[in-house]
Amino acid sequence: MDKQQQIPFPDEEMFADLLTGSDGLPPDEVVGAVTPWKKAIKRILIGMVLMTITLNFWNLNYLLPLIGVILLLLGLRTLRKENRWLKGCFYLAVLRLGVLMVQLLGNTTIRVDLLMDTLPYSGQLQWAVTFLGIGLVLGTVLCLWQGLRAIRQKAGLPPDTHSGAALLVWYGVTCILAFVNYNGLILPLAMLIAYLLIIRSIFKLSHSLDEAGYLVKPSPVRLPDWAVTVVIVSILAAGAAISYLFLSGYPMDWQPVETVEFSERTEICEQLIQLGFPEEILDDLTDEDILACQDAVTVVVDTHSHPVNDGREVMQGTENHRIYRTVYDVKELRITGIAVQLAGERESWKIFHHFVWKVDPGFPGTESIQIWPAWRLSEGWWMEGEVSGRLLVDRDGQTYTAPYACLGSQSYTSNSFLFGGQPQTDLFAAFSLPRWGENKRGYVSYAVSEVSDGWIIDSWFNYTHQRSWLQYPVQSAMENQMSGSWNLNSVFKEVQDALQFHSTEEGIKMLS
Amino acid sequence: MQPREMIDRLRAGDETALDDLIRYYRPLICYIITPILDNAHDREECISEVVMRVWDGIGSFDPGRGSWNAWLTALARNTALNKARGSRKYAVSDLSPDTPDTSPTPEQEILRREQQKALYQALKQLPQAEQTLFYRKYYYLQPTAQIAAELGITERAAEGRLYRIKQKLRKMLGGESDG
Repeated sequence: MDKQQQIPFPDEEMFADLLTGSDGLPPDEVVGAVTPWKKAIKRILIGMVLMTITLNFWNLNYLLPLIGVILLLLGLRTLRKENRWLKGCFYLAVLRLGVLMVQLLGNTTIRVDLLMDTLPYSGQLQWAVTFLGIGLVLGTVLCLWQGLRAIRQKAGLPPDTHSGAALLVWYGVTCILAFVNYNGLILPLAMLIAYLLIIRSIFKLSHSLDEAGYLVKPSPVRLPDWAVTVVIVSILAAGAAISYLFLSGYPMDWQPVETVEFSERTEICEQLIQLGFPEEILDDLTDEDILACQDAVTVVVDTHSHPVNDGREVMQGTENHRIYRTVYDVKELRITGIAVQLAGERESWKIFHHFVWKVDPGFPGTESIQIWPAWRLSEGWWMEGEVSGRLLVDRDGQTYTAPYACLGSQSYTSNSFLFGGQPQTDLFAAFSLPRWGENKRGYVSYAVSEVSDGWIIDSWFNYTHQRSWLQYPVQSAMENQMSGSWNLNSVFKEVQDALQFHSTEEGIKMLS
Repeated sequence: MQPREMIDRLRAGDETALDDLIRYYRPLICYIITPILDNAHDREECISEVVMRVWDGIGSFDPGRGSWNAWLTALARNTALNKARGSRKYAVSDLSPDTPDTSPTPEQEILRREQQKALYQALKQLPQAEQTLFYRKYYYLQPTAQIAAELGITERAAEGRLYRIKQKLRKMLGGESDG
């Protein structure tokens, strides 16, 4: 540049004059890039491909459609005033972005599923959303196809855009296959090959439209492309932050406990305490559950403390023979299983599973208790009545209580590594604990009566605690239990406890 | 229509190739000349002139110097510029004989050629996006509004980018930079 530096350039306007006055050819890369069309159509086509691809790892099944719809939107934003079809396509892309953003944000909270469950005609509503999605996809392809045809016609070229029609048919067949839940391999493989051929054909079509594309008049923009992208990402980030911060748990109705002592409750409590029922747990029970223990015969109590942390690994043994062991310095959760034998001709028991957090549980996400009741594991028992229970927490000397967000029998399909999907029905109690207060606790209770002699009481209490918000899509602790996940990502931690004993004429024999 | 096919037909003297030239490349020629020629009638004349110049000059097309599109756009742009200059010349043709001659001296012309060469060298060193923006504005003479719309940015952003490119070029070429 030494030579160049000696040449005076007194005026910036000289650049323009020099280039304007030159008769040399511009570089090929520059000529290729000076077009109103290529960038827009490339974005549209890449966007459509990304929105169709489904890769179920690293959350790409969410990221790729988002990138795809943003590219589609930016491409169509440039071409939206070219013809009415492309304008329609642009508005459909806006709608698709809106629907996708709602879906993506819906995945950051469990509240959407809860809301859907409470809505009337929620099943039909979900179908409507599915059909809306299919309609938007088909509508976008149809409008794009017709828009490209219109551009060719405007340039006086034949409207040779069969690949658009082929893509429309492809989407239609895919929707039908999804609708009939087709599980074969050959047809999807053929569809994949057909899709790749159609996309190749559309890319070729876009090249064949390069000349006609010079007629396109891009629409001016108020917000640059990067700003549109930043706005979309910011809305998603802000929505996700609000969801994770404030909508990560169940809506719970915490109310102060109003203690009204009445003689019948007092008498039963005294009797239960005499039989060995822990007094502090007795205070947590509702009047109905206390009254259900009238004329108790026997009380069986089994208490264990469980860690909800990962512990620390310690090495033991010699240099040649090392043994690693996990040591838990803190055991946060104390679980007590209590069985109260009730008077009557047939042997019957009222089972209580009580938990109390001895230290603060930390992240206030979702909690779930899965009960494997005595009748699930053995044929000797039959369920009596309904499952009951409540949650409690203390603050400034006042006890607050709340019903479970969900308590009762739930049917689901468990994913077993060995046996595949298995239909199951268990008792579940789903809830969220408050950020405030201490001594967070609760219990679940149910009653069983004997069907045949000789069966042990074997009642399992599986407590799943959500330790972190870091998961996408968001899953509740109850959904996590139902999925049978191994929790390798450590968002959830499950604690198992069981009340197992055998009642004989000689007395109670504890097995747990 | 592949450019190779078009070039071969034109070189072979196939007159029907002119129809296809107009059919397939009219949008490109229009796109290039529209920012230079405001008048629709001038543009139509210019397109005819470009087609004739392609027919006459196809023998001088050298793929080694640049692509078919580069050659065609340069031809279209130069034809449109000549037409625009011709219009301006006509408008000021009644200047008095006392008006000083503003034509460059031979020394000025040599300096200008040196500057042009240096500018081309400097442009080659810019990132492609900046080169394209600069060429759009100062070679193809596209209005800033058109450039902004095609690049998906605001006019203000386009002006800002152009200003920064000019500052950069000025610095590269040894001029003072006030930025």
